[in-house]
Amino acid sequence: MKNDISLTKLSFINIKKHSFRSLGLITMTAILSLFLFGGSVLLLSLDKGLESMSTRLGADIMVVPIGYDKEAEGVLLRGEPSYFYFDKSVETKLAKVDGVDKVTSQFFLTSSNQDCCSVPVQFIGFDPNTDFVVQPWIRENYSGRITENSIIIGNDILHDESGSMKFFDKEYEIAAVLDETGTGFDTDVYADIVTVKSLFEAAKEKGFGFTDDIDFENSISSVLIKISDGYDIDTVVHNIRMNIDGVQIIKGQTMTAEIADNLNGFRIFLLVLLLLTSIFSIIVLILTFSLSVNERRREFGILRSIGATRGMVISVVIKEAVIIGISGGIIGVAFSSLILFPFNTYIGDSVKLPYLLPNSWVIIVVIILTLILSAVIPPIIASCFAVKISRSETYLTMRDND
Amino acid sequence: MSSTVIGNNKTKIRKYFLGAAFLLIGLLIAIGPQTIFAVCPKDPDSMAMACYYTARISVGIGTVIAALGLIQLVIRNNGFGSGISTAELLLGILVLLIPTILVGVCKGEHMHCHSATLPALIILGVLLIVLSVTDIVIGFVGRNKRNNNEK
Repeated sequence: MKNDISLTKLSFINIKKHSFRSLGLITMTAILSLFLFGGSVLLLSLDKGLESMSTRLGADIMVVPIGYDKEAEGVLLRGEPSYFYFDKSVETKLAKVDGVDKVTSQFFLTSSNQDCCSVPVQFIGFDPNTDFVVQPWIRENYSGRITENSIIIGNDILHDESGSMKFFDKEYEIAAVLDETGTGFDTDVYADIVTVKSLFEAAKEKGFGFTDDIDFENSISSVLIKISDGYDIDTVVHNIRMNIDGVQIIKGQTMTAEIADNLNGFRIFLLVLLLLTSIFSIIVLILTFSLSVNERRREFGILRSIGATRGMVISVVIKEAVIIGISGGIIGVAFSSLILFPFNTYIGDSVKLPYLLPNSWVIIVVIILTLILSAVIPPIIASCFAVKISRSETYLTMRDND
Repeated sequence: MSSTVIGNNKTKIRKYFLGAAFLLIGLLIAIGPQTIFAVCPKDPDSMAMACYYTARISVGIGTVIAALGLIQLVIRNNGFGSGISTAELLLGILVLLIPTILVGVCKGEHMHCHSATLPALIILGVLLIVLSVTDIVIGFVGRNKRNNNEK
């Protein structure tokens, strides 16, 4: 017959008829899915940022001039350009310390990137012969040898299509652009020590002074250390302190441990917020579905009286709940995405922790899981009340609203 | 309740909803780049950057968008709706073009104008376009239905 109404169509009609109530239920489900999806992506992004930072640090110990540990952490973690120097002989002394396997030095310099906005850029010069930190991850993007006057740039460094960049009026060829890490490494420029030295000379010619009494040939900014197998970091740190004065020692694991602690605090806060929002949303859904099903007893009684089975009545309620759940889920995920993805950089800068969005497949899985939860929770709640109502005698159900 | 009365009620709800939405979006576009998603501060000793001009132009455009929304709320005649929505659609396109092509913002990804102002203006522009197009389409479909019913 032309005017037959299916159970699904009946569910849609019911939702449209009680539009205000349906809108309220969709809003609650949307809030639930917004926090579920948003919270999950935030946590995954923070975890990925921390993992990326731990991978990039490379060294077990970093030694810098005394009093410059905060500046060194700023360079590594937050991309805050800085420069500091001590005598190159420290590298030789450190190589002889018991428990030290490999050492390599780095030279820090800051510059104005003339392509845009005079934002300082951090130059990190490394010794290709001894380096074990920078070259492994440069090799992910560039398999060639880094020649003189060529540079490798972090993902956030502005550059045009010409394949070169100018610093202090001198051109440098861009050999490769590194993958994003969500940390201060993204604003660094890497080159071999010879190139950085030529940059230093170019800067001096332009009248930029760094530390006035610096002996460039015999100065370095940091020494990175890999400890030998069988030694623990604290022992090696102790050995360094016993043999060398005037240096600050930064343990790689301490830096990541501090960030992991901050991340844990943030994670707990997010989880508590998520839990409270979920509980609140579920309570409101329970109350609303309970009221909704109760006030429709007469309607269900009429359906039963014209031949609908208990299963059909329950099915109408569940279908309504699924439609509401999926609608709310889609809206919640959409709103959350409107905040998370366009403002991704801003969020990362605001939390001041390594922050890197997970890859697309992970995000798709999170969306699917969020939508499944949104589609499942309302029907579960609604079905409890629908089953209860459907058990009553039809006559009594119809008379209940009198 | 007759279908005509229901139809008029729906038109009124749509009118007030759109008017309020346009007003809110207009205010956000006008005030946002100066406050909640502010552009880079202007250094008095150097030339203003592109984002400074984007913020200034947004004040003007946002005010016009908000004013049209207010007119939609206040005016009784329901016939103005499509005209206002058409105007808002064109203004929405302008809101999209200003921070991206016509004026721009700083190129640095971590500059505040790039990470906050730019995405905010793009989202508000898109929202304005979507609301306007939806209203125009609903109005067009509704008029067609009425014309068919009259025939």
